[in-house]
Formats: sequence, structure tokens, C-alpha cells
Amino acid sequence: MVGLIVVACIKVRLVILHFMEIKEAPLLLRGVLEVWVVGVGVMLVVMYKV
Amino acid sequence: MWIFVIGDMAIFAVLFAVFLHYRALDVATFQLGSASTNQVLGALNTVLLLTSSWLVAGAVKLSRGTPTPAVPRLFGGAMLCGTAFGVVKVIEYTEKIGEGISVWTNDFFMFYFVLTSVHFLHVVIGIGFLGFLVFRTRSLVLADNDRSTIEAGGVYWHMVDLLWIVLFVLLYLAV
Repeated sequence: MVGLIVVACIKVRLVILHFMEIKEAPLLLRGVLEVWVVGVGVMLVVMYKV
Repeated sequence: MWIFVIGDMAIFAVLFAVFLHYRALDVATFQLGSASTNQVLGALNTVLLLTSSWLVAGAVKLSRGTPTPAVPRLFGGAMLCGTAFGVVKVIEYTEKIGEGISVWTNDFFMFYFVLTSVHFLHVVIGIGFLGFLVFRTRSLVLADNDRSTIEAGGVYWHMVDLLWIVLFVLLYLAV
């Protein structure tokens, strides 16, 4: 399940960087979205109970 | 639009946390619930939204150059994918309700129906937005505020796509 969460976060990050074109966006906007991806990813892994 | 999108993403992050909190209180029910979801339809919906996002990204990029009829066609294609997502969702809900499962069945299904309906509402709004973009980009003459509307529509649709990626894992795959 941790693997699935990590894969989901990678997919989400790819959508953000390439589809939303955040790779070329101002650093502040990119920073906020990268924090969202990492934050949500860590939260999902920490809170997920088997 | 970015302020709305970031706010909406923050709200969904809280919803994900709330879901996982309640899941931790009754893991067995949630595992059974996830196992009983239609993972094939869930995966199909993921593919549909990713495809539609790819089409939208293409349309937005093309719209910055010389006006071309490809732009409304790409937005139209994305709308079709979004509509197909809706059809699949209705099939899924019908399947569940046919099995006697509803939002009142247990905590897992309360989250399943509420989270997917809220997301589906976003999809429906997005389809409307895409329809408007098809209409505007057909004219082949784009004003400045058309360009920012196109960018906003693209960003909103990608948000809808990425939220589903997380929902799919949490609701369908967390067995």
C-alpha cells in the first residue's frame, strides 16, 4: 500500500509539473504545490493503518 | 483560479485525512469496503481522466499559437472522456445500490459515496467549463481574457484529475 501511495504521488506530481506546467511556473507557486504533494504523501503513509 | 485550486486541494487533503482517521478506527470494515469496490471501473475512470488531462494540456499549449480547429477538437475530446467518466460513475453507483449498499451502509460507504459524489460534482462543473472552451476556441479569434480563461479551465481540469488519482488509491486499492 505504501508503494501504491508513492506511485500515486509520483503520478500527481507529474500532472502538476507537466500538465499544469508548474515546471515553468514561479518558484512560490511550484513550492506550494510541491509541499502539497509531499505533505499529502507523508500524511497518507503515516495515517494508513493495516 | 490558482487561489481556488489551491484552496480546493487543501480541503481535499483534509478530507483524505478525515477518511484515514476513521479508517484507522475500523480497518476491517474499510478493507472489506475497498475490496468490494469495482476496481476495474475505478481504474477505467483513472485512465479516462488522465487521457482527458493529456488532451486538455495539448489544447492549452496549441491555443497559445496560431488559431487552429484542433484546439476545440481536443477540448471536445476531453469533454467526451469526462462524460464517459460520468457514465462509468453512474454504472458503479447503480451496481452498489443494486447490491443494497448505500451511504448509510457503514462508514466506508458513507465516505465512498460522499467523496466520489463531491469529486463527481467537480467533474460535472469541469465538463461545463470545457464545453464553454470548445465554444470560445471555435471562433479562432482569441481575446486576452479568452487566453486566461483557457489557462484557468486547464488548471481546474488537471486538479480534478489529480484528486481522482488519490481517491482511487484510498477508496479502491486500500485493501
